[in-house]
Amino acid sequence: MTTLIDARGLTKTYGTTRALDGASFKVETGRIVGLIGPNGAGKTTALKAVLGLAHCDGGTLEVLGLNPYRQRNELAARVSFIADVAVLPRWLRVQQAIDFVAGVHPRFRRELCDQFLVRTTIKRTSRVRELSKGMITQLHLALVMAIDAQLLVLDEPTLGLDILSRKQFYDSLLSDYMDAERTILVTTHQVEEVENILTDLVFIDRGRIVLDLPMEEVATTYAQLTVAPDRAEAARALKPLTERQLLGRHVFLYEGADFAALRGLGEVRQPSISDLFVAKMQGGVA
Amino acid sequence: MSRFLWLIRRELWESRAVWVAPAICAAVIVGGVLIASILHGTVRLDSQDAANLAQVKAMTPAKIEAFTSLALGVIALPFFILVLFTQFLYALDSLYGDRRDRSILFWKSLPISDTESVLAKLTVAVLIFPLAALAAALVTQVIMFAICSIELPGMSVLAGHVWSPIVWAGSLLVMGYLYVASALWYLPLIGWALLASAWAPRSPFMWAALPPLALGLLELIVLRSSYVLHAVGERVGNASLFGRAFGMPHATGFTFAVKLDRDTLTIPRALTDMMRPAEFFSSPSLWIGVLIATGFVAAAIWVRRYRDANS
Repeated sequence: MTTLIDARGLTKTYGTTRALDGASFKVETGRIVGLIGPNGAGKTTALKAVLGLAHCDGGTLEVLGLNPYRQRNELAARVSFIADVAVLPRWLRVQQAIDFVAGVHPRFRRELCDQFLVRTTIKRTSRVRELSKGMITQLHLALVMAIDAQLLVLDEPTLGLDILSRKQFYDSLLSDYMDAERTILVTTHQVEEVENILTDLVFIDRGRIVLDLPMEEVATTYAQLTVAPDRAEAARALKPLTERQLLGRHVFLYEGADFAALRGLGEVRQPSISDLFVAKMQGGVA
Repeated sequence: MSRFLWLIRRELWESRAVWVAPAICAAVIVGGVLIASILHGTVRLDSQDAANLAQVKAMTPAKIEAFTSLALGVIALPFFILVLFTQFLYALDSLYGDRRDRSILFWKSLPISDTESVLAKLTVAVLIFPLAALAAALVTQVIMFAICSIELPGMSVLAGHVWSPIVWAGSLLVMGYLYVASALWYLPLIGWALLASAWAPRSPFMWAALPPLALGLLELIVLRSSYVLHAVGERVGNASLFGRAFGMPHATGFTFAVKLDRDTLTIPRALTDMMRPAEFFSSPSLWIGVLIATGFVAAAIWVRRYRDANS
């Protein structure tokens, strides 16, 4: 396993706003890493830095062993990128898009793109402006999946899509694209939709990384306990991250707690990513 | 096909004005003549016309050829003027357009350097626009002369001179020379338009027009001189281009030094005789302009490369 992205102490200031405030994270080959944070947390800035589209004020960043800002042209041949659905030019025809990418990208395999598009209802002669948002995303995905890239970066790729298109998007990505050689870095603030596909979880809040964990460690590190009101006091004594009430029962979220002790108090299960997300973001506020 | 040619193709997909504008121009010219000829009916030979025809037949070959090349020039001129506007507007919108519709994030996701992107747009502005206009002008000339050959009985007598390959080659040479000269002469304006297009947060036209104007006015107020305004005016005004390229120092606007007086018809036998390539291409102000243009294009590439894609 090699390190594809190595970011250390990245800082970036826009005017008086600190978009990145000492963010450090690593992405290894073969992983699907979710960079998750609320709006304005610095997700897009971090991605832009990774893609060489923005320059960081401080810290060091290596992507595929390159400095993305200085060596963007070399990087562009090995990294694919989908921003949200609005970036395919509206005047472009589907066939033109395929021909163009095939013409300029040395790693593009047209037959893969065709295979994928055949399964959709997209017509080759349509202009992008005539396609629905879901179809535009499918087209963009078809173009990108046909590129043999080492790293695929997705920035809110399903923004504004209906639930069916979102599910389709991630299903295609998993079944048709992902393999041991490929790596995906995805940002989103819709945590639920990526929950089942991620291998690694990175939470970012106000420019800082507040959580960086492989998914398999979520279950061993975090626990959610549901107890009856009379046990609430005992549960509180075990120092939960958060507490909330649900249908007359108390729900606690613990980090690195004694699981045996928790089981003695009530029902223990692995917290969902969104619960964990809420807990971590609240932790930042406190 | 090389990557650069794909970039050119992509520009042609996006900017159909490259061929639509000259096609409309050709349609207006040909259509106008056709409508006029339908309204007037076919020219018939009456005694007056017979007299005229006799006069025409008596013209020397040199005069006929001079008339022909002048007519060719008159047909070609609207295309030339049109290109000056369309290529500037294209350059002004090209880089800004990618940012306006955010497609810059798509283009930048592909292995295309910003240098290649900007140079492709520059190539389209200074090479493809003129080539398309030149082709449209040539087609229009052929159609117009064909119409005249059918409509005007007297033309058949002159066909040998009117369709003379030498005359047509000369006309093509003059057009080609004019387009090359204007591409070089106006290069700083195109480069400046590209820079404004790469930079402008919105309205690239204002960003292109206001800084030179403001600088000129500032100079006028502070220094009470007008070098900036004069330099810009000299560059923008086509009189200086025609003056330099065709040895017409006193030409104003597009007025050719041709007197269409009935009695004293003083036009050169061929417009090629008016070309002054040696003087034009050795003029320092031409090459200073090219140098400045290079600076503008380099700056446009830099801005395209380092400007934050979302702003």
